[in-house]
Amino acid sequence: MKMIKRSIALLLSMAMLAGCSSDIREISDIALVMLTSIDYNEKKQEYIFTVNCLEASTNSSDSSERKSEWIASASGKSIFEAARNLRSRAGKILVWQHDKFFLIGESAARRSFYEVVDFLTRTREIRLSSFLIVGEGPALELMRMRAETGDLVSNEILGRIKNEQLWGKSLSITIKDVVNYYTNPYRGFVTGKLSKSMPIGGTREVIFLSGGSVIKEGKLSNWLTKEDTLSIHILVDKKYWRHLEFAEYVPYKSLNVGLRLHVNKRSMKLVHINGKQGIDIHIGLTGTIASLDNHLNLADPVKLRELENAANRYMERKLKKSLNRFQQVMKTDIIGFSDYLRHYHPYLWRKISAHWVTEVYPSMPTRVHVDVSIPTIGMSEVLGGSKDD
Amino acid sequence: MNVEKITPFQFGCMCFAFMSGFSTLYLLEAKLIMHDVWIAIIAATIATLFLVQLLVYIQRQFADMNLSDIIITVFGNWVGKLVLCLYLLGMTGLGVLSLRSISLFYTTAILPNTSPGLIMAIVLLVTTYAAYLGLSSISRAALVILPFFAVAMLVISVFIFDDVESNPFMPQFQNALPLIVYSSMISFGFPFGKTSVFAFVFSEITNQKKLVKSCTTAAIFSCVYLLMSTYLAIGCLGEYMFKTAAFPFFSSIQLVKFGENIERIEIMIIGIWTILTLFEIIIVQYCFVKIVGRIFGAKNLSSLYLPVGAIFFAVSMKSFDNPAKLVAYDVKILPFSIILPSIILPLILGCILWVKKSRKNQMDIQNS
Repeated sequence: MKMIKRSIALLLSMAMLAGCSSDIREISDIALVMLTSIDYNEKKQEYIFTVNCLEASTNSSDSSERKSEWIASASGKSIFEAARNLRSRAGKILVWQHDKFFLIGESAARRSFYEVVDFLTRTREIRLSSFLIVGEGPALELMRMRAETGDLVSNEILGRIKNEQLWGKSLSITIKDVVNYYTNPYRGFVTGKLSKSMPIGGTREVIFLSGGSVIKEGKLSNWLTKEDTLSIHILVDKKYWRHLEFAEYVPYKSLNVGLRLHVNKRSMKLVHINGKQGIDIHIGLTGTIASLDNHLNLADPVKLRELENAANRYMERKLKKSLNRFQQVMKTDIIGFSDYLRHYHPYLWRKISAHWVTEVYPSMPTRVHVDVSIPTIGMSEVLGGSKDD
Repeated sequence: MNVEKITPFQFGCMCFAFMSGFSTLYLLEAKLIMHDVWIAIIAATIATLFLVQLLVYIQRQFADMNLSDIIITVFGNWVGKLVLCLYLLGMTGLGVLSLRSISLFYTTAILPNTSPGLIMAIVLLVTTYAAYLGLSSISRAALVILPFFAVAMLVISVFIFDDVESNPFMPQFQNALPLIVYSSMISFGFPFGKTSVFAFVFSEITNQKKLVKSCTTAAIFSCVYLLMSTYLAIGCLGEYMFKTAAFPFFSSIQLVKFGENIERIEIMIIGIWTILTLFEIIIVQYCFVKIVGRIFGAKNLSSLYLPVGAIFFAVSMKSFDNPAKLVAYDVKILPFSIILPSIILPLILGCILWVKKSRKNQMDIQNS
């Protein structure tokens, strides 16, 4: 008995072996990858892998001093090989666990997303909550641009993604959503678009996160305008619109009213439109008056109601225009009508799914109803006080 | 060895830990029939509830006797021992499945450069010692860990629920009946079919009258946990991402963050998850030793724990050396191999006892 107990005690001490795991990494040996880009060189048929890194620790006693970014590229026949070839230049172990952005160059995106998406989901270190953005032109060039604010490029892009909720004309989605949409054969999707441009009053080109990139049948098919991206933001899943706040300049009689709008409801239903089965979308918006370009007595409920109706019509026209473009020009289901039909009308979906992409979706009638309510008019009623109209 | 009895409440908690260990790791039945998975899970739970009734009926015929003794009493010495060997085979499968699953998960998601053998050896050291300590210590440990598990899972679930866009169990009834039945078998095979293992500790419960209540409650809670995890994982990840992910529920937990910057909380969940998985292996090892002791007529079981741990380690090292084999076992072998120890043998045992009891009653009536 004693022998057994001693043996067990001896064997239990083997639990200390956990400390001998080869997975242990000292913080001084690692560099945190903050931003990664993937390009494809058609001529050489090679992937170009670029990282923007920060050292995890510094020997400097002044910890407040901003750590320098290190940007390096390497190429390889596969993404993994390119990433590994990068190690020949890295003095530290590269760690991807803090990387929040993956920038895919236009060349790689137009070729195929498959290997990129597969690599990102298969790699243990990469988090599904990271954002995947498509760059206009080579991603490598965008990566090497300095941040406009002087901050780290990764911090600046993170700030811009957070700000997407405050203007809506850009939409960056996570790797998790990219995988979910990408493998769905019936739909496309939109993710962020990073481009460079000269800012107003600027002296050098800076990066902009604006508009969107449409991924269809596994590759980049189109760029999306800012207006269409805003429509996508309003029309797709709740997680994209529940914190959205956007500005609209609504024409009302002879004046223009600036509105700050929030989406509070979005629903879809299958209806008959002109004898054909179509989709009816209902959007509920809540607005606040942001500016007026001329006198309007907002204290008058009738005027406010008329303004709401004008905003309804304006938004309906705008959204319908975008929808027509998605259906008839791009012919890509980037809203997710197919998902709605598959979930809530499975028997109809069985009949139409075979021809959904080629015939049904592009010609499916759609109707948009917008209901704008303006419960607040801001801190002032009307400049100079209300007068009789 | 002195057997300390445990209360029905302790037993219920232990059963839940045993059944729910890593039941949400693969969610294979959900990958097969997606939106209709709730039917499979509920069907498997109902089957489990019937199985519990049957096992408790068998136990009640022989108060204070262990299931191994009951089997030998009913089937006779040699046939009984053969039946016990079948149970040992099934338990080896379950133990090895748990060990390989835990090592696969760790080497895939957390420690890619660590040897699976080292992980399994460390796990087995813990479980062997826990099994050696006895049922009372195991159940007390389950009582300590379950509140942490419940609170952590509730908090995580609330945060994941926030990302659920539409009902992931829609559209319903879109799969053919044979496929739903097959998924129910997968769900019964893992995790619910394991119920037959804890029938071997029925005799160590203080109040036998509450056996059904304890087991039923544990099975229902396990069902709720599995349903909730599946709902959240499909809802949060989306249908296609769910099918893509090797460990879907873990992937959905990875997405949870508190505020903007507090994330990577999945590591706490992994800790709790691991402990629950340990309970599976501990209970399997404990029952395995009891059966081996009965087969060989050993009076002192304490010397058997270490060799049994070594057997589990040796078999684990040689089995399921890649994920494809593990998944194939879960999907293609276990749903069928579990039928013999968990359904057929208890049914035969129950029928024999019922017939014997009926005859005895008839004879009693004739005598009186």
